[in-house]
Amino acid sequence: MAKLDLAFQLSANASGMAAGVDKANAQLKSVGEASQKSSAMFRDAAKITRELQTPTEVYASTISKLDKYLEKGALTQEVYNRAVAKADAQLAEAEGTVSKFRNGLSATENVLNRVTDAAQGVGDSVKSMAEAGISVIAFGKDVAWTYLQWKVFSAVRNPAAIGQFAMSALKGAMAARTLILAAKALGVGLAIGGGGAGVLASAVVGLTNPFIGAGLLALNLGRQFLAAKDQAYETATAIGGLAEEAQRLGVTVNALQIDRALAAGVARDDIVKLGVAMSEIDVGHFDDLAVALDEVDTAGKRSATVFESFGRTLAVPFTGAFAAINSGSAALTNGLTEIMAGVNALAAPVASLLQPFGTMLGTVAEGAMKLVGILAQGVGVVLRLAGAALNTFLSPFIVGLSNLADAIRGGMNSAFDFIADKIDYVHQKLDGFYEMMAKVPVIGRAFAAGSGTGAGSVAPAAAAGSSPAAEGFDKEMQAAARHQEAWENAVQDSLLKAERESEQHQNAWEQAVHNSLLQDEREAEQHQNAWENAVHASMLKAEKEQEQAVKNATKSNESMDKAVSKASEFQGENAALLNGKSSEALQANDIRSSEGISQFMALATGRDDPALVEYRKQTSTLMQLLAEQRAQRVENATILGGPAA
Amino acid sequence: MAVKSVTELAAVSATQTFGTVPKLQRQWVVEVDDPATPHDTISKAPKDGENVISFLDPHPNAAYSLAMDCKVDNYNGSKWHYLVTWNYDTPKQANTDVNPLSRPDIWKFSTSGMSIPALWYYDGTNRKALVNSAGDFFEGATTDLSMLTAHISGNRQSFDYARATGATNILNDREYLGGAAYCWKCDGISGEPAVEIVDDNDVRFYKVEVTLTYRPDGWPLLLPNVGWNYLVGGRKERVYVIDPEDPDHKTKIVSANPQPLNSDGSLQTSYGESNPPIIITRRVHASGDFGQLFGTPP
Repeated sequence: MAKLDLAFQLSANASGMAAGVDKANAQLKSVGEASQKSSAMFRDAAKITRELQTPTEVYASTISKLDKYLEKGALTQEVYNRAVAKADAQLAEAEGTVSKFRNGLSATENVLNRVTDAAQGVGDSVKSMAEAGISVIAFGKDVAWTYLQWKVFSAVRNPAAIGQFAMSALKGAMAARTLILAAKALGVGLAIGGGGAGVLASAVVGLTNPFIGAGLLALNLGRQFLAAKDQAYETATAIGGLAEEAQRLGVTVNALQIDRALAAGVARDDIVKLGVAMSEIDVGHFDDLAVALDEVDTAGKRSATVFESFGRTLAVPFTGAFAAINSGSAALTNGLTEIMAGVNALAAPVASLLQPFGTMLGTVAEGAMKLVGILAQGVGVVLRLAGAALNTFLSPFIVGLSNLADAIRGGMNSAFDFIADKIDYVHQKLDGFYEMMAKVPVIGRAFAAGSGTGAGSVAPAAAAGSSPAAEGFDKEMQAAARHQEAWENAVQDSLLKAERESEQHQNAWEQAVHNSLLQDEREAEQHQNAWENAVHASMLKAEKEQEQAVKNATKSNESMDKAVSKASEFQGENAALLNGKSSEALQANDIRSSEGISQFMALATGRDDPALVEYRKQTSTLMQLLAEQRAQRVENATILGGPAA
Repeated sequence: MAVKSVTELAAVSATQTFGTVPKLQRQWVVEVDDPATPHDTISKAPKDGENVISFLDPHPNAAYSLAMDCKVDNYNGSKWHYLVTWNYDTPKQANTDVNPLSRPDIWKFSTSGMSIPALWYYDGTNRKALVNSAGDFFEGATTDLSMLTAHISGNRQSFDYARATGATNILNDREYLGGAAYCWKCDGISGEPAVEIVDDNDVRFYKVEVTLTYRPDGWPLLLPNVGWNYLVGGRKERVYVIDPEDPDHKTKIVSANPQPLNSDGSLQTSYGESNPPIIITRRVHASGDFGQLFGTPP
């Protein structure tokens, strides 16, 4: 990219190159307008298609319109092919979701078929364009059209399952931008000195058309994936409802437990109906479901795999072309870079000190321009060889294609060697020039430091050995192989998983029966233990109550003894006091005082002495205890010398 | 140093208010020949005829008004002239004597109230027990007892301490000042020294004051005849109570309070509204002849 930018900077600074750039920009602008017009026609065609009622009518009308547009030149051949393919896909969608689901399972095959169609279209396009000598403008138009198609596709639908494709498409867009820049560079090259690069552009145009096919292919592929996912979810929902119903009725999906269902109150007729319904379940649907779920889960990976397969299929015949383009671009850029380096090396001292040597600088510049022209012609030769190889690209013999690719690569390397030799020659000349100038008085010191910046610092890409495109292709192949292996492993894992789940269901059923028996046994044992515990608890309770009754009787006797003892003590004290005189202080006051009148009133009104209250309280307690003892048939007691209770 | 002339001024003051006795005043201007003339010489210069004016001399125009105080002042700033003023008043005590020991005692009386339980009320002139319709006493009801206090003031040559202590808190043993025996009580006797000048001689004496209190129901105590012990055959035993709810009515229970007694010391086992406890009257103060001790008011 830096080299290309430098090339553009060079074109901007060089008035001779500016005209080529302006021309290229103007033509690109017209390409955009033409693309918009084409897009409008495309949308119109799509709108007409949507307005049709039945899938068959849609298909017939679409084909008719496409033929009409093709005849009028509104659609290119490859777009026409894609539109027909799209109509086929839509018609296939209308035929039923099961069919689409199965089509989704064979998506890889479809991809390969579509890639083949796309490759056919590419070949036709390359052939026709090579014959027609399509210019860089046509190349840019196709690039812009591809970009527009990709944008339309992105706007239509961007499901998460094809996110990987989106990333790939983005990469494609970046590649398209690179190609646009390359076209501009080629435009510069044309302006400078040669028309050979036009052939290179014609070859590159063939690369742009497959992107259209790739976008539409991915679109259809995504739809199929979505349809497969929807079908899978619908099937899963149906299975889930069946499972709930079966669980409610006491059955499982794997086996009908009639005894349990009967025990649960399910009618026998219902069980029979359910059994019939279960027998009608196609096990293959479950397999399809498992595969569909796997497809949904691995949709992104599958999409990436398919797209990489597409890229692989597409890239194989164009390996040489890619190498040629890259090498040619690199060589051209290097040449321009060297020119720039030479100009810079000379422009700085010219601008500052060496005005009189303008003629000499012009000579150097002229030499550099010729060098570019030679380089461009060399690249043109290589690309012509590549174009010839591409014309035979669609031959059914892949080995031959590989040989041709190798031949292209060999030719390219030869071309590069030729260019490198030329460059070395020029370098030698320049070195000689520098040596010669270094000997010139006064200005020789300026040339003694060297030939300037960056000249020869960039080696041709082709000289580095193997092509980066070929290495990338190998990596993609390896990645595709890994994805294929991963897919096969996923399918194998799915089968193993289904087998394990079936085995687990069987084990679960057996375990459930075993657990049920154990539970019944435990419950019976628990009932037996509960009954024994209840009997034991009842006996313990009776014993405790008996012990408590004895304790209460003992306690009552003790209370009675205490009360009798207290009463006897009271009686003894009472008798002792009554037999003697009291030495207590006599408290008496004048009855005209408050204390005195209170005492007098107590006596005058016959109030009970507090001793009477205490006496009655003790008597009541004793009588109560006697009553309790009578109730408990305890030995009678004599209270305060009274009658036996 | 002699008095040169004495000139009585015109009647300078005569004040009389309704309900009081008139107050009169006489003034003289005494001229001396020496400013150092003694004050006593100047105060004795005024005369009624040949008699020098002195205390308790009657006013020439009002015999009931007696000379009570004398004052000597300088007259208009002249050191040879003095103003002598005599004020005349009517003494409250009759037979006032210049000698304090010859003066009669002064009696003063005052009354006060005393709160006591109300046990009786008067139905017309008949006194009845203060009970409700069910015969229960109003225990918290009180009434006021009118108390009369007599204060006796007199001058004595000396203070007889023994007599004062012996007379304090004694009761009258006979009727005195309209009160029955044991209704008057001497609450206290106080005395303080005093001095007066009589005929240029000082007379020293004690101002004695006696307080007597009259209680209409008498000062002896009225006590219920109750005790912890009662007499049985001349022997004391602990009083007891019998539970009226006891059907046998014979269980003796040591009482928690003193129990009423009969007059012979036996236990009053049956008492109540119909048979209230006996109230015994006991005089706990000594008694004496108050007429002889304190005299009678004039």
